[in-house]
Amino acid sequence: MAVKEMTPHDADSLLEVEQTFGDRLRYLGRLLWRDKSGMIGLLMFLTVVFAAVFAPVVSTYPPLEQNLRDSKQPPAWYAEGSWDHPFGTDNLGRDIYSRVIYGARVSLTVGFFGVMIAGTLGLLIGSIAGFSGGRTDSTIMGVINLILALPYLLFVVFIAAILGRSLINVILIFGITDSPIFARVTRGEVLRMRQSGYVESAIAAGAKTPRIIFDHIMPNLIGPLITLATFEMSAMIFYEAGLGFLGLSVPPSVPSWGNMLAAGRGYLTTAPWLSPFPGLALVWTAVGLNLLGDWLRDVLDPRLRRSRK
Amino acid sequence: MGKILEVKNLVTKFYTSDGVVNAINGVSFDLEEGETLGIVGESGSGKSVTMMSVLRLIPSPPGKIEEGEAIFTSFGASHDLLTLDETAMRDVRGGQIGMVFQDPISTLNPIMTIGEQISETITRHLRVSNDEARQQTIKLLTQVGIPDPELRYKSYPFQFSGGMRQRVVIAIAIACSPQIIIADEPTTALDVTIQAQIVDLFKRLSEALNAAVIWITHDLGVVAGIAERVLVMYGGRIAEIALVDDLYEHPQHPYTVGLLGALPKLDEEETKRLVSIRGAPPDLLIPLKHCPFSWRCDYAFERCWEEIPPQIKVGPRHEVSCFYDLEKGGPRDV
Amino acid sequence: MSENNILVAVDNLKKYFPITGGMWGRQVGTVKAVDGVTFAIQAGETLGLVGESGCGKSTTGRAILLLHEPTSGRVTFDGEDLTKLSSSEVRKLRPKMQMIFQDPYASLNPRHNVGKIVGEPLVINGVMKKGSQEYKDKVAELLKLVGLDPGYVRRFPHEFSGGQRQRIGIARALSLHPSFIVCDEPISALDVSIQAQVVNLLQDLQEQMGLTYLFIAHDLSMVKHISHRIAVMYLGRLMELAGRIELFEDPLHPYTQSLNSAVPVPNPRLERQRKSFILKGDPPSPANPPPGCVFHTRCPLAINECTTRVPEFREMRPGHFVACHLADEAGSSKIPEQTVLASVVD
Repeated sequence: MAVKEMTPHDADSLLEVEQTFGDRLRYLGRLLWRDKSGMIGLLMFLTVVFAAVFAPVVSTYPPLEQNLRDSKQPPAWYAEGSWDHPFGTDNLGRDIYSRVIYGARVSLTVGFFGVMIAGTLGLLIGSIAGFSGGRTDSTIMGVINLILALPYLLFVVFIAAILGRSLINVILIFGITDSPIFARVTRGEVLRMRQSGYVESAIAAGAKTPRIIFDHIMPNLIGPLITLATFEMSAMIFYEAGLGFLGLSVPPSVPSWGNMLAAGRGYLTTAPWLSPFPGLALVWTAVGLNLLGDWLRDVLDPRLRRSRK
Repeated sequence: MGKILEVKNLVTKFYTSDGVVNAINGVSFDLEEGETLGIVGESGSGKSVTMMSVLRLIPSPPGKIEEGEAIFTSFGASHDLLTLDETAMRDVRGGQIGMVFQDPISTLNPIMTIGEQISETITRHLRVSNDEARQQTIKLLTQVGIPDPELRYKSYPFQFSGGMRQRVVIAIAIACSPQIIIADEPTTALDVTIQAQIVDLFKRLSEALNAAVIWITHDLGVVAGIAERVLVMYGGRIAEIALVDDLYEHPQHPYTVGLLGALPKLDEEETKRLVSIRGAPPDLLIPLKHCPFSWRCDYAFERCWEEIPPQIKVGPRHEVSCFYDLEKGGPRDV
Repeated sequence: MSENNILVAVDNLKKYFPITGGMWGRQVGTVKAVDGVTFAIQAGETLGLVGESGCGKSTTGRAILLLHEPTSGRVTFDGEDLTKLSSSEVRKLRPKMQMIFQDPYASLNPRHNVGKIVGEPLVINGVMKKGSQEYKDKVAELLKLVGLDPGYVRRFPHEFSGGQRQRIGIARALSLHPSFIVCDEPISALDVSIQAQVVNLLQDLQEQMGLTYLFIAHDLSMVKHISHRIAVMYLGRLMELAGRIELFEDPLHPYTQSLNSAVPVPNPRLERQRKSFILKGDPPSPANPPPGCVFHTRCPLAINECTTRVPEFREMRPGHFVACHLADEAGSSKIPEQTVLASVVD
C-alpha cells in the first residue's frame, strides 16, 4: 500500500537529527558555537554570575572595610597605585575591586527576582486576558496600557518614598512595574496559539482546557518569555543602578553599582577612577545579556530550525 | 522567428548558514519571439530561481549566480543580462521585460494609489509627460479590465480584491510594451473563477502585444491551456522541454510521466488509482553526482547512479534529461 | 443507499461570526460564514465539499465537529443530535469524529515529537497509558499504517517534509479508530507528486477501515477523483449537490457550470476545444451578502426573481439537489453553449 518514504538521501540528510535530550543539548551547543556573539554573551554573563556567587573568594577585601589611611588610592597602573588595590580605593578607603564584585550580587538579585516576579505576574495576567477574551480581555489590556503610559520614574519614586529603601522593595517595585510587558507578550502569544492548528487539533482529539494550557500553550510560551526575561533583566539592572544613583535604591552602605556611581560623582575631579569601574561592570553585564537574548530568540523557536526533507 | 532569450548553463547557489543550496545546476533553454513558454515544477525545483536569476533579482547574499549566460536580443542588439551593468538592467526590468508575481500585495506599494504606481513605471522607462502618462495609465486600466478606470486611478491597493490587484500588476508589467512578460505563479493565490479571468486576460494581452510569455507554475492544467512549449524542472535542472502537445501526449521523462499520472482527470469516468511518485525530491544542500530523480524512478539503472544526464534531443524541439528511452524500453544510446 | 445508513446529517446549519470593533469590542456586524446548509453523509462514503475561498466550506466542517459552536441548526452524528449534548458528552464522542487539517505545518505542535503527537489522542481519552508497551506498539503501528518509518517517533515536526507531516496528521486522526473524518483541504499545501501519495493513502485507509469522509477542497478535479457525491458551496450556502459524475456531466446550477469550465484540464487539445464561461467580477463579501440568491450578482442568467427571493435547495432529481429558481427539466438553468461570457474587459 503506502509508499515507503525513506531514501538514501533522506537518510543522509537526517543524520543531524535530535533523538534524545542529550542530542538536543549537543545541538544547542553546536548552535552556540556557530553563533559566536551568543557564545560571547553567555561567557560575559557567566563571569558576572561567577563573581556574584563566589564574591567572598574572588574579592580581596571585605566590601565594607574602611581604611581611611588608604583612601582615594588610584588604580594599580597609576604611578601611585599598587596591586594591593587593583582598581584603587574610594573616599573611605574601601577597595573598589571588591565592591564591584559584591555589587554584582545586588544587581543580579534585583534582576533575577525582579524578572521572576514580573514574569509570574505577567504570565498570570496575560494568560487570563488571552484566554477569557471579550470584555475581561479589553479591561485588563486597558489597565495595562494605562500603567505603561504612566511616567515610570515618577511611579518608582512615589513607591520608594512610601515603602522606604530596601532591596526587597526595589525588587517588588521592579516586579510590579515590569509585569505589564510580560503580560502583553503572553496575551499576544496565547491569542495566537488559541487559533493555531495544533490547539484546534487537541480540542478535536477531546482534550480538556487544562491539558491544552499545560501541554500545548505553556511550553510554547517559554521560548518568547525567556528571551524577553533576558532583555528585561538587563534593563532592570540598569534601572536599579539608575535608582541607586538617585539615592532611591538600596541603602548607601550596601555596595551596589548604582550607589558607587553616585558616590563617585562627587570626586570626578579629584579621584576620577571611582565611577568608571561600576559603570563598566554595568555595561559588561548589559551587553552580555543582550547578546545572549538575541541568540536565545533564534534558538528557542523550533520553527526557525532548519526543516529537513 | 528569432530567439529573444537564450539561457545557457545557468548555475545559481545560495550560501546559507546550513550549507550551500544548489538551487540551479546548469539550466539551458531559449525563448522565441512571441511564444508562450510554461515552466512547471514543484516547490524547490528551481523554476522561480531560474527566472529571478535571469532578471538578477536574486537576493545577494545569500544568493549568487555562479555561471551561465542569458542572452537577450531586442531590436537586433544582444546583451548578456547576467553581465549588464545595473543601470541598464533596471531599464530592462519593467521596460523590455515585464514581471508579474504570485502575490500582488507585496508587489504593490500600499501607500501609493494604483494610478501613481502605473504612471511611475511609464515615466521611468519612457520619455513622456506626466499628463501623457496619466492618459496611458487609464488606457492600461481599461485594457486589463478594471471598471471605472478614471475613478480607480485614485484607489489604493487595499481597496481592491485579489483578482483586481493582480490586474493592476499586469497593467504595470505591460505598461512599457515589453517583449517578454515573466509571470511567476500569477494565479496561485486566486480562486478558480478568478484564475480563469486572469488566464484569459493574459492570453489576449500577450497576443495583442505580441510579447513572449514565460509562465511559471506548479499547475499542469493551467499550462496546458496557455503554453505553446513547456519546460519541466526538477531538482534545479531541466527534466524535459517540449511542445505542449508532445509533452502531454508523449512525455519522455519518467518524472513528467509521474506528474501527469498524479493528476486526476476531469474527463475520466471511473476512479482510477492515481499514479504517485514515491519518495521525496532531492535535498538541494547535497551536491549530486547522479540523476536527481534516480531514487524515485522505476526505470533507473546503473548509469543513472553514476552520471548526471545531459539534455538529450529526442525530437524537433523536444529535449529530455534521461538515459532511459521509455518508448524503446531500454537505455538510450548516448 | 437507505436512509438508516446515514452517519452524519446536517440540518439548516448556520454559523455567524460577530465582527467586533472599537475599544470595548462592540459588535458592529455579522459574517454569515455558513447560512443554512443541509446535507447528509452516508456511512462509508466520501462527500466532497467544494467552493472558493471564503465560501464557508471549512467553517461547515468545523461546525459539524463542534470546533465552532453552530449558531443554529442541527448536526446529527450516528443518530445523536450533537448540538443538544453537553461538552463532556461531546468529548466522549470526539474519538468517533476526527479531522485532518489543511496546514501540516501549523497543525502539529512544534515542541512535541512525532510519538507524542500521534499518541496524544490515546492518552487524552484514556485508551492507553503513556509509555506502556501497548501504547508504543500502537504508535508504531499507526506510523506504519500511514507509510512512515516507526523509527521516527522521537523526531520533531520541523524535521519532516510537508507530505510526511500530513501523514503524521493522518496517523493522529486515525489513532482513536474514528468512523468519520473531516478532511479540510488536506492536500492543497502539498506538491503535485505528494498530493497523489496522500490521496491514495486516504483512499486505501477508507477501504481498510470503512471510513466516512467529508472532503473539503477548492480543487475540483481532486474532489471529483476522491468523492462519491459532491456538494458545491457559494457564500455560505449550498448551490448544488449530486453524484460525482452527474455533477460534472449535467450540472444544473449556473455556478457549478462556470466552476466546472474554469477548472483547467491537463490536456492541451481538450483545453483548446473547450468553451469556457468566465464569470464576471469577484464573489461578494460574506459580511454583506446580496439579497435573494447569493449568486445573482455574477450569474449570467439571473432574472428579477433571483434578486429578491432566496431559492430553495430542492431535489430536482433523485439525489440531485440544486438551489436555483431557473432549474427545471427543460434545462433553463443551463448556460447556453454559444454564450462564451467574456470577462469584464469588453
